[in-house]
Amino acid sequence: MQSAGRTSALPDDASSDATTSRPEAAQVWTGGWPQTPREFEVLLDRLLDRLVWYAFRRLRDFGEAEDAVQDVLVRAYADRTKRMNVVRVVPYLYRMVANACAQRYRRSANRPLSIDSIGLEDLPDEKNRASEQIAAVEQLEWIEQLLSRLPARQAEVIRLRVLDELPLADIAETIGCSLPTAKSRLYYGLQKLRRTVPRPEEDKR
Amino acid sequence: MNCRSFRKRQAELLDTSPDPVATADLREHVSGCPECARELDQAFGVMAALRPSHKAFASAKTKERIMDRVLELQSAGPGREAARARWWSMRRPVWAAAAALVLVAVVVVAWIGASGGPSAFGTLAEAAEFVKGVKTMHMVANMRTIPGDNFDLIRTDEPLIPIHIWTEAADPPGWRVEKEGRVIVMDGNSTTLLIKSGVGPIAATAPGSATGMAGWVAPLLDVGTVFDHEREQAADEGSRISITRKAGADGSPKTVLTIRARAQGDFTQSEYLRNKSIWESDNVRVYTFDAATQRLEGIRVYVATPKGDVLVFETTRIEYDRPIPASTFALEIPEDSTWLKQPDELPSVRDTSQMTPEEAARAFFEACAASDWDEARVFAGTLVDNAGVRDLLGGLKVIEIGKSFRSGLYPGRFVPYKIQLKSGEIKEHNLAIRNDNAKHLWSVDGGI
Repeated sequence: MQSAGRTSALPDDASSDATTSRPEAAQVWTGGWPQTPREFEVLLDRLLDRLVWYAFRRLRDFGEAEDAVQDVLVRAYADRTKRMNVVRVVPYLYRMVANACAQRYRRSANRPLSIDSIGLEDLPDEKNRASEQIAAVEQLEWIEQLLSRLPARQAEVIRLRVLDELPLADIAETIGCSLPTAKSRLYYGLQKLRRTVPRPEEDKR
Repeated sequence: MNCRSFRKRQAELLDTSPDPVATADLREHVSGCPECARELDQAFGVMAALRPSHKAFASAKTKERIMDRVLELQSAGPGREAARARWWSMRRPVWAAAAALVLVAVVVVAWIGASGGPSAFGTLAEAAEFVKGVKTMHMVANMRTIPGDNFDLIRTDEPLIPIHIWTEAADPPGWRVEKEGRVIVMDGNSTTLLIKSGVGPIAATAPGSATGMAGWVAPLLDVGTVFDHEREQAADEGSRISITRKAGADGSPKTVLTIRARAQGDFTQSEYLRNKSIWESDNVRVYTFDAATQRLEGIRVYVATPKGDVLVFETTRIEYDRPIPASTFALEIPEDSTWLKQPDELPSVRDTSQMTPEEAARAFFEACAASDWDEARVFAGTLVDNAGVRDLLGGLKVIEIGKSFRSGLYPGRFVPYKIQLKSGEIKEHNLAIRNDNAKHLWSVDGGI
């Protein structure tokens, strides 16, 4: 249980070198609202990529996504004293990014996902870069096409759970619903998708 | 538990880290119910199918930009509005607009005597790793620029003048960039600029490492990031990277990275800034590395002009890990220096946001004409506190103020003007004036 007004916002393992693969979002940030540059930098290391990815899918433009996230994070630090009592930092930041994206969304609503606007990390072989990027964009478009068949609220829960890897409790807080509602939306959304999504093993047949 | 209860709570098993105790009854049920097990398996299958194999990530500079702002806020105190980019950080670096690792055209032109040699990006990555281990660096270069002016400026018709860059990756780190008439020092806590101008010393300071003050040479302060910058820069239309290997003068193999880049910025209204900086010119940047150690050995930059390519930057020496005297990262500011503050940094300055750039320029010059320095401060900040500036501009006569225009990467506007100084000299130039601050106040930025 976290308490407001703790002396350090850093999670307990903030100083350790995490060399394992990308941690689950539940472990990404368990501290309070960062109050010092050091705490804030740790939060950036844990969350910046995730927030940019989240914003990118909403805005469909990498530069816009980075700008939106940058604005949110700078504001998050500027207003740090006001938010000292925020207990669940991750969903709060997701909401801030969602709001920032909504303000920019009108300009980008009809913009197709662009190869030029997607950034990929650590590709082992640059010869495959173009084909991998095209595949990534096509994959995102395919996912969005599938999710567009669901009620918007169910689709959003699935996005946050599968694409953003957020725990259900954070999802509930991010979208402003109860935890049972978030669970229900995830369950029914996946039920509907069973009929249309080819399972990975089916692809191999 | 029956199947209906299981379905109602199935999502708990689909959470990121299901609580083993709270979901024990669900697991028990599913182990004995093939139908629910199949349904759960299908749900996991759908999630796996939707999980993308690639994601977008923040570019390398994003974190740095955010932390720069955070450090500014920290020094300003909690609750203050985010500070704007200061006048010396002339413009957003062009690479900042590029996405992280976007599509880059890589042409491996030739690998002498090599088959299956290192990949282009592998070479860059190794070079970056080498540089990350560097403790000190002293780079000596020549740049075709004007003494005392900013480190972005190039003049293809001016002679090459020496420029020095020192960096030390200690705790705290330090760096220094110096050319005749202008020096910037980061001492680990703050960055200080000293301009030794004809009107007397002018100084400015910013908290932390304000690399933006160093203009085009800023990426060279952390050579390990140069390659990221170049890679991102290459994403801009018209930029191409090629990598070749060739024998050096001593026969040792060299890796040569060449970037051919188009001029950045908007020149639809005016060509004024074309070829005034490397970014705003069609240019070729050539980096040479020792192929064995991946050590950066040299940089040459050429700018394309109607008269042919002109060398505008060339390193003459790069020394690594040699001791650098501590005094290098200290800067003594003369007592008679004018400390620069922009209008929006001054307390209770008048709101000029509703003025046109032409009106702001005219108001500034007319204030100078009347030697009304309080009024001139509204547009030029503390610059007009400088006795030399007052002596130069006081009593001037405004002859003409033209229509403003944009050019290149400059975020403000240029206002053509013609004035007569009290010495009788007629001066025709373009006043650089910008309002990209939080209050949108006009601020004279150059061109005097």
